This record gives sequence, structure tokens and C-alpha cells, in this order.
Amino acid sequence: MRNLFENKLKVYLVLGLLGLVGVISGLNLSISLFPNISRPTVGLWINYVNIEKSDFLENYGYDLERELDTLKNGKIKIENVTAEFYDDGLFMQILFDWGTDAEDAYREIRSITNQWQNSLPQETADTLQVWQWNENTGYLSISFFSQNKTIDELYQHLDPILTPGLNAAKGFEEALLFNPKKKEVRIELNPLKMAELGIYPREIQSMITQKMRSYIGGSIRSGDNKLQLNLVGNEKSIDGLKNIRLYKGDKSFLLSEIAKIYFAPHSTRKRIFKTDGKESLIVWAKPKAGANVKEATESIIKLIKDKEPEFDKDVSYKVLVDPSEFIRSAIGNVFKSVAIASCLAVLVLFLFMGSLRNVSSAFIEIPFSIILAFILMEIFDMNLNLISLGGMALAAGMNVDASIVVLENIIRHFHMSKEQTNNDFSYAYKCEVILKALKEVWRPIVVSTITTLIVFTPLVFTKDLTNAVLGDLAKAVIFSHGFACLIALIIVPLVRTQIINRESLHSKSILDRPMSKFEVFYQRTLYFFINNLKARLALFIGIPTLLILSLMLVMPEIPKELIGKPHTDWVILKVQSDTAKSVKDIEVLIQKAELKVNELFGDEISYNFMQIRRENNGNLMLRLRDKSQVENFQDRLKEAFPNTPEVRFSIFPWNPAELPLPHYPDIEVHIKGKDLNAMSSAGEQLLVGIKENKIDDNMWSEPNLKKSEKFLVLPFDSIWQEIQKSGSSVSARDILDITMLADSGKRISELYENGEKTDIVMKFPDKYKLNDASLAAFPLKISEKIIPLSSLVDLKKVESAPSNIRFNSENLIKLKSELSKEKKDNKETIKANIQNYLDKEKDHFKGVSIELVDENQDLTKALAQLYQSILISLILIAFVLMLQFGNVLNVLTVLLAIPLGLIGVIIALYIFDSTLSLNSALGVILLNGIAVNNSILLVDFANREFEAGNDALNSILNASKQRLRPILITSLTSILGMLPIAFGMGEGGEILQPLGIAVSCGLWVSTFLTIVIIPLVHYSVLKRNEKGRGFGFVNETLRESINNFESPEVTQ
Amino acid sequence: MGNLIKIAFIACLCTNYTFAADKKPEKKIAEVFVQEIKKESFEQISEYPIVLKSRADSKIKSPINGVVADIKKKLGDTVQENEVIAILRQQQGGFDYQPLKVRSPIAGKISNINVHRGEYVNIGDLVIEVLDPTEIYGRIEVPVRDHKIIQPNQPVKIELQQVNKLDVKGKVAGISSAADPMTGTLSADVEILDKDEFPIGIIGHAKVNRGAKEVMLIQESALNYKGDDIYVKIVDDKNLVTNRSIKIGGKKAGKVEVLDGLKTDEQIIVRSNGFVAPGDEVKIVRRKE
Repeated sequence: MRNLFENKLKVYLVLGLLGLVGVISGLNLSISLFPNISRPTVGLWINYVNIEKSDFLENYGYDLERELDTLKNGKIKIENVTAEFYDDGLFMQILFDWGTDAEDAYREIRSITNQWQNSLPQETADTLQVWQWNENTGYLSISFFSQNKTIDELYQHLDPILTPGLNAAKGFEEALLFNPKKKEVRIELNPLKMAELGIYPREIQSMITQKMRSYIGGSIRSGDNKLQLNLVGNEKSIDGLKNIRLYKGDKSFLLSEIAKIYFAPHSTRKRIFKTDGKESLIVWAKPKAGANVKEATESIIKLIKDKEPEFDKDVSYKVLVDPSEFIRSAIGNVFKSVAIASCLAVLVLFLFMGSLRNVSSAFIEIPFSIILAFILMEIFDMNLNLISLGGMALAAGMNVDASIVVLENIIRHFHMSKEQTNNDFSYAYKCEVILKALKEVWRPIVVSTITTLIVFTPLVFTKDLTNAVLGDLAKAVIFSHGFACLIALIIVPLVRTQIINRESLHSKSILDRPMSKFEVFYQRTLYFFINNLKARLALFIGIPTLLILSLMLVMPEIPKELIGKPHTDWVILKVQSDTAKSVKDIEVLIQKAELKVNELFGDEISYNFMQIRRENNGNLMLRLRDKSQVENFQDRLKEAFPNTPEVRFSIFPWNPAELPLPHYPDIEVHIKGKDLNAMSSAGEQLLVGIKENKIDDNMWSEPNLKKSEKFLVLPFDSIWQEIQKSGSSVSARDILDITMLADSGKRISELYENGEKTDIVMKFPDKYKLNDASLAAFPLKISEKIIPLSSLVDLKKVESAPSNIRFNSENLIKLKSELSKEKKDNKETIKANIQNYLDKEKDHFKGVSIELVDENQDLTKALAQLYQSILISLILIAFVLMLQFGNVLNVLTVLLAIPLGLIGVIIALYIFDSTLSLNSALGVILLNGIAVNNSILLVDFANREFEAGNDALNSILNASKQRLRPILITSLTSILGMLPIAFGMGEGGEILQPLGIAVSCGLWVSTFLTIVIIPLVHYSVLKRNEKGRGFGFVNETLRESINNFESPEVTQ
Repeated sequence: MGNLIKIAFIACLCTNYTFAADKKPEKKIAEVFVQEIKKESFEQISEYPIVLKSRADSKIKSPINGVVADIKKKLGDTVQENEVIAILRQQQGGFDYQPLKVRSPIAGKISNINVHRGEYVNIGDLVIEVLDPTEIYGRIEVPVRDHKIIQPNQPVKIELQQVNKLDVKGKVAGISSAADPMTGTLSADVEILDKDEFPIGIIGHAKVNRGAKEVMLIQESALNYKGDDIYVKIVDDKNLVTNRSIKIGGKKAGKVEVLDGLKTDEQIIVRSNGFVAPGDEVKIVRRKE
């Protein structure tokens, strides 16, 4: 260290260089919304086409499940597979383990599905879609609308302006201008004309696709060139389609003579988007995993701003979701927290030490630790995200502790030594004093830093959800806190060699006198307890009792959640109606709701966005002007929109910046078994029974157990045999084609219109849409007669097999419930009642297993991992303490500080209506680290006094007095530094708020109890050792001054 | 000071428990739509494709091997009995062409021209069809399993979309007794009662009215299921709810036939704004007939 003082310029240069590297690293770090740790999901959809649901499962579904099972133990692990068998197709969701690379996951699934696809009939195989999604990057969404243009006109106007820039944008999986009004080219066949001609859809489809194809007919030489001969098919346009000539027997006709051909709304993609009532297009962009989300999304916002002059005057846009906005706020939050922590640290130091000159460099020392942390963050491939930024805001308050201890000790040593050498204030003298002060505290500082790092290190090695939520936070704290120790041991003393002078030491702090009185009072209190066995016992029994009571009575009352949800300015009003049969119907209902919302709450809303994707429900998304009013607004909205028999409303907040964690309902029952009908029946009966017995009327099932019907098409064999004998080409496949075209139609090809790919769909008029009477009367020409379809096949309406969800290759029906706010307090009672009901009823259901599951399974697992980490950290702390003290009793004394803080945490979480979550559990961990630091210093100083020859009493009294001021300063700076977090300030502040409350309030109680209990306990230890060595000298002056309740300095 | 803190802490706990104890859930009365049960007359309709034909229908075939020299009429033209409608020329090696006049055996309209000028025809090839539009009738093919329900004199409504005539009246004239094994159908003739001219050969839809029956129909949304049990929720005159099991028949267009279990004038719930259990009181906000 002396060498450093002698070569201070070199040291400053090195530090300056490191600082520069830190700044560059910080600027290079990619900025995302959420941590890189992700749990990728791959989705799959396939239409059965002509295969019945149960046949598909038997012949193809089980095969796919078996293939996917092989990945459960492989290098790339699947966590679970959910397969939903709907009436017309299969939707599968494959969830991978935390930390799996998204690209690898997708490749594995694609490789399996490509093989599986080969076993499927061609028409079914052609409908397979596989995609992946990552929720941790968020997405950008901007709506465009116009006063005067239709949606198609708006699209034609904006597409050439924006699409090239969107296609060129970097860092996105997908960036496009989305037109919800996608069109298709519809060939609406006339069954009556077809019957006249005796032609079937299959023949028409074959002729159309042939005519549209182009063929290569070899090549011919022309001079030196070889030219290809192309037989060009019909022009791929609507007019080209209309002019296709078809043949049947000796008759020929144009397609337009037997069909209407026109542009129609897409039969499967029916969506409506509106902004403030105007139909809208959406610019939608999904960042890639690992991309710099902030940079990428800002580039698109900039693109739109740059192109804005090219928009027509009537075109406007609104940014609906912008991840870079949250990131900017979170970064701003960090700067604010660091600034506040720095200012508060300097203020507290100034109040206690009395000299701004001596303490002002803390303004640089605090942020410097964070800048240096960027270097390690880049080395470990971390990114800046809401969680790691939160970790930095957290660390800001903690990082100053070591510097305070060093600084306080330096100034104390200067005060002590000035009595001996009044005139000498040379650089050498200053170095000596500083070195001496540093020598006293460096070891406990290193040990306490190590204990703090030990406390956080196991979190880095947790898995799954815990790591996803806390991993980046823990790393950010470890890196910055580690550097804070180096700063405390190197920069703080080095800078003081230059800025401390005689005048700065003479200045008295305004707290000097009150502190001195408090120190005497404190010593007197300790003396009282030491000499009063009953009082000591009362304390030793009372404190643990309070702890036990808090754990048993108060902790169960604290609500549990995985992680705090950030406040938002979006509220969604979801509208559902079973009477709505089309998107238009639901649009009308939502428009009514919109009018009412504008009438009642118009002033409070900035704008609204309507989103309809289904025929029976849609969302009206409301953006509030004042985020703080969200809860109150929701309550008033609920009152204004009660459910009616026709329409159901749900109202809930929505925050695109929320961590994409799994959401579990309040209550969940699983029904498993092999027989789907038995499971479905059980589910239905339980649902009705639970509601009828008034246990819970909010329950619903997944899948929906509502009975549905289907038509079975049963050919009359004898007639088909006659038809085949006659040599006719008509077959049962033709009948299936007819039913398909009558229902949703069949995609037969595509064409490009105005540069856009458009599906060509063949179908029959809606009259035949599986209306049994009309379909039964469908005309067919057989043997020169026009006969109804029902003479060839029996169209039998039967109950459809229940919808089926398979979870990890097992049939599963879930009954779920989300309790209303009023019922949440009674959750455990409701759960117990459901359990009782299930126990009573389950014997009625043979062949199914019914179980009430732990809906908090992720939280339980995560907390279990945290408890494990806490245990490991305690063992490691004990080990480090053993190295420091070499004495089991000393170690146990220090560790006693840990449970003391819990009392404050539990009571604070309860009083401030906070939650028991991963972050409040982290607050407990943090608190343990800080409390242990104080204990280490107390015990260490007491031991030094004892080793110097003092008796147990004086050792404790002296050490406690010496350590009181720095303990109070460090605790105050930590508490004040945590206050912005405890108040939930800044964007996303609610996520860390339970942590802030736990630490700041817990630290009050912990500090108070630590400075009282630890000395008392250690006194017993030293007293025991004292018996071994005899008595030491007694400081009579000190005892007298304590008895007189006067500061010893004042009497001197 | 310590006591103050203790008191404040205990007070907080007590307050919380008091508030919790006061939180009794409010009793909510569900709002419902109901349907009053009435017996309705339900028309039983069977639908089939129908082809328009003429009883007076002449298929004129070529009597010679030769060439079509001329066609005097076009499709849809009116012809008189014995009017010349086409000229054929006999063709034999070494001889001059002998023209042959083709005449219509009946008065009527040209319904089909199967040849064109200059085309070679053999003996027996169909040349032209003439039919009498005043002798028009409809032909439906009835699946064998419907043979008992389609009876003569049943009224028929014919929809001819291709000529935009959607309400042509007719009645079942007769039904054959032998089924065609190739098609599995019995042929039934429909007498057209509307005196109008319709193009022959076009296909439409025929809806045969088999008569009305009295049925009890309810909205499908009124049905509830509990395992194999199908039940409805009845609202009595005190607005209290009871469950009643019923037997149902066929469903059509969102309605279900009730075979047993309900009486006329009873009120059943078709929609509600929340779950309604037996014994609950409800508020009727709308009645559906």
C-alpha cells in the first residue's frame, strides 16, 4: 500500500484507464428488456384435413409424442409438451428448459417434425406450421390510421414508404406492416351448374392448377444463343382465372361460367384493429433473442419519424408498445438511484464527519464501482436489462459501506494522532496515519465483502425461474460490490492522502455533541444489561419470542407472489359474447362499450385501441393519462360494466414491460385418465357441483368441456359398389371434397396481386355451410340423374369426442379459478372446501384421478432454491468467519445477527402491505450480509481490545463505542440508499419494492438489535475467556464517566 | 417509547383482523333471459334438388349418315309441329348430295342443339331436342329411406336461383315404386302450379312440406349438462330456480326439440350473467318467446 502512495500518479492512471474501459464496456453492452436467460417455446399447428381426430391421434399423434420424448433426457432438454387436439387440428406447445438456446431448440423440433411429416398424407402434411417464440425480448407495435382512407387504401399508401425500411431493419426476427384485412381470391362454385355438367371439385381443381402452371419445352438455338421454350400458363390474376377453359366430356366452358371469382375477406384471418375508432394497420416488430433491443426498436421509431413527411396529411400513428421506452426509464432509474445514493451518502458522511472536503469524493467513488462492474458484465456476456439495472440501483446504496468504514477510521486515527504530533502534517505523516487506520480495518472489510459476495454467489448458480429472476441481479451486485471493496481499500485512502488537511480535520460536525451523548448513553445501556442478569435474560427471551411470533402469526398473513408487477398505464376491457357469431357482431358490441367508456371516462384516457381476433371476443385497450390511477380506474370500470346475460366483461391491467413469467391461476385441479369421455364427464360434474355448492363460481375448464357435435359421413356401400361397377370416376373422396368446400373451403393455389401473395380458395356458397338440410340436398349427377347427396351417404349428427389436451403424453383436463379481489383473502378456505368436495366425490368417478395441485409450484420451487442458496451461503459465511476468528463461539456470535433482522422484515412487509416474493426473500439475504458485516466489526474490535489486555467489560464497551458511529453511518446510508427502491420509484420500481421495504425496515431493527444483542452475547464469550487468563486492568475513568452519564471527552 | 410501539403494532394487527372479519361477500342476484315454453307448429320440410322437364319432349335423331347442311333454328326458338328445323345431306361415294329436311314432330321450343353446321352424323345420333314448355314438370330423386315420408299432393316450394325465381309453387304428383340401384333413389314428379315459362333442364331446389307437427322448441343455450344428464333451469313465479332433467330430440338452427320434461308456460333460463344454482333467486331482464 505504501508503494501505491508513493506512485500515486501511476495508480490514478491505471484507475483512469480501467474507468475508460468500464465506460466503453458499458456502451458496448447490449440493452434488452429482460435477461438473456430464457425458456424458449416452439409451437406447432397441423390440420387433420380428411382424418378424424381420434384416428389422427392413434396413427400420428402418439408417434410425434414418442419422438419428442427422446428430447427429455438429451442435451437440449424439453421441460414439457402440451398437445391440444381440436376438432379440426392439433396445436402443440413444446417448452424447453431454462437457459436453452432458442435457435438450437427450434432446429431440433424442425428435424423431428420434418421426419414425422413424411409419414402424413400429403394434404395433411402441407398444413404443418412450426414456429418459435421468445418472450424476453418484448415487441414493438405502432398503429397507423387515417381519417379519410379505407384500410386497403392506407396499406397501399404506406406499404411502399415503410416496408423497404422495415425489411432492412437489423436485429429483428420479423418486422412488417400488417394489414388485418387480408384478402383471398375466392372461387365460389355453383353446385347447380356443376350438377348440370356432371363435374366435381377435384376435376376443377386439377384443371385450374394445370392451366396456371408454366412448362419448359426444351430449348432451340438462335445464332449463338440457346433459348428456352416456355409454355406459359394462364396469367396469374383474377382475369386470368376467369378465362381458364375447362372440359368435361365433349363440352367446354370458362371457369367464370360455373363460378363467381372475386376478392373476399380471408376466411381464416378475421381481425379488426382500431385506434380511437379508426381502422388501423399495425407495424409489428419482434426483436431477435440476444439483440440490442433498445437500439433495434429506436431504429424503427426513427425510420417512421424520418418518413413522416411522406405520409398524407390525414394519416396518423400511435406508438402502442415500445420496449426502448421501458429500457430508457430503467436506465434513468439507475442514474437517479445512484445519484440519490451518492448524495445521501455524502450528506450522512458530512453530518457525521463535519467536513465536506473529506467526504466529497464519495460522489465519484460510488458510481465508479458500477462503471468497473460493466467490464465484468461484458466478459460474462451479460446484457443490461430491467433486472440487472435493478441490481445496480440496489448496489448503489450498499457499495458505499466499505468506503465509509475506511474513511471513518482514517479520520478517527487522525483525531487520535493529532494529540501526539500537533505540528507535523506532511504527506509522509498523512500516509502513516492512513496506513495505520487501513491496517486496522482492511481485514474485516475484506471478510465482510466476501460474506456479502458469498451471500449472492449461490444465486448465480440457481436454476430455472430463480435464476431467470435473480441471476442477473445477483451478478450485477457481485461485480459492483467486489469493485467497491477495491475502491474502499485503494482509492479512498489514496485520495485522502491528498485532500485531508489540518483545517478539514478541525471542522466539527453538527452531530458531534449529540453523538457523544448517544455514545455514552449506549455504553450505559450496555453496562446496565451486562450487570443486570434479569434484564439480560428478558432480552434474550423476549427477542426470540418476538421472532417466533412474527414467523407464526404475521408471516402467514403476508400475501405471496413470484415477483412484483410493475405499474402500468394500460387497462384492458375484454368483451365476450356467445351470441356473437362473427367478428362484425363483436365489433358492434365493443363499439358500444367504447362509446360508454368515452362518455364516462373520456378525460382520463389518452387513447384506446380495439383488437378483435375471434368471433366471440375482443379487447378494448385503454391507455390512461395518469398511471397512478390505474387501480381506482379499474374499480370504476368494473362498476360501469357489469356482466349481462349477453355479454361478459373482464377488466385487468396490462404491462408489456412485465417479466414474461408463467402465470398460474389461484386454484387448479387436474383430472387425468385414459378414457377421455370419463374424464370429460368427471370434469363437467365437478365444475357444476363446485358451483352449485357455492364453493367457487369462477371455475372454468381447459379444454372447454362444452359439448359439440359433428357430422359423420357414412357412405351407403351397396350404392357405391354399383357406381364403381358402372365405371364412374366419382368416389368417396369427391364427397369429402364437397363437405370441405361447403364448410371452410380449400386453398388450391396462390397468385400475386399488387405485389402481395394472395391465397386462392375454392368453396361453395355459404348456404351449404354444413347446414344439414341444405348439404343433404346437395345436387350430384349420377347416371344422368340429379340426385341429392343424402342418397349416397348418411349425414349423421353425433356428439363430437371431447376436446383433448395431452400434457407430457398424458390426457389432462384442468379446472382453474381466478379469485376476485374480495375472495383472495379467503383463498385457503376455498381451497380447503374444494379439497373436501373432491374427497367426497372422487369415488364416483372410476378410471380417473383427480388432484388439487399447488398453483404456486413455480414460486415454491423458486423459494426452495433460494432457501438452499441461503443455507449454502450461511455455511460459507461460517467458514470464512472461522478463517477470520478461528473460534466457533465468535463465529456463532457473529451469525446471531442474521435472525435478528427477520423480525423487522416480516413486520415491515405486513405493515406496508407488501408481498413475500423472490425479491423480498432476496432482501432478507441482503440484510443478512449487512447485519453480519456490523457484527464482524464489533466482535473483531472487541477481540483486539481483549487481546490488548483489557477485561471483558471494557473490551465490549470500548469496541462498541468505537464501532457505533461507523455502524450507524453505514446503516443509515444503506437505509437511505434503499429508500428510492422501497418507495417503488421509477419505471418498474414495483418489481424491487418488496426488497427495498425488507432491507430498509429490516435494517432499522437489525441495527438496533445488533448493537445491543451482539455485544451482550460476546461479553459472555469474553468473560469465559477472561476466567482462563485472569483479570485485566479496569478503566476506572471510563466506569465513572458511564455512571455519571457524561462523555469522557467532556470531563477531560 | 417501547410501549407505544407495542400498542401501535397490536392495534395494526387488530385492525386488520377486524376488517377481515367485516368482509362478508355481498349476495348477488343474477340477471337472466328466460324463454316461456309454448308448443309451436313446426313445418317438416324435406329438401331435394329438382330438374325441370317436359312431358312432351322429342329427341330428334339422324336417320341417315351424312352432314349437317343447315340448322334453321337456335336454342330457345319456338317451333310449330312439322316445321323444318334442320337440313341433312346424305353422303355416299359417287352420288350427289341428297338434302333431307328434319321436321319437329311436336310444337314447342328448341331445348338442345347437339350438332353444328358441317358436322358429320351417323344414323341414330341425337341432332336436336324439342320440348313443349307448357307440359313442364319437375323431377326429384328421393332417397329410398324417405319413401314413406314423401306422399302425393304434398305442397312443394321450388327455388330456381338461376332464373331468380325463388317461390315457384308445386305439388307432389306421384312417386315411383321401384328404386334405381345405381342411385338408391325413387323418382318423384312435381306438378308446377305456377303458369309461367321456365327454362327446361335447369336445376333448382325443391322443399317438400310434409305437414306440421306440434313441438316444444327451446333455445340450445338453455341446455345444461352434467355427465349424461341434460337439464334446464326453471324459474318459478317467486323467481327461484330449480333444475329439471329433460329429454331432447333433434337440433336445428340453434333450437332443440324437447320430447319430455317440460310443460307449457314454464319459464326456463336461456342466458344469465353468472352461474345460477338451484334455490337461487334471479332477476328476469328479458323474455324470449
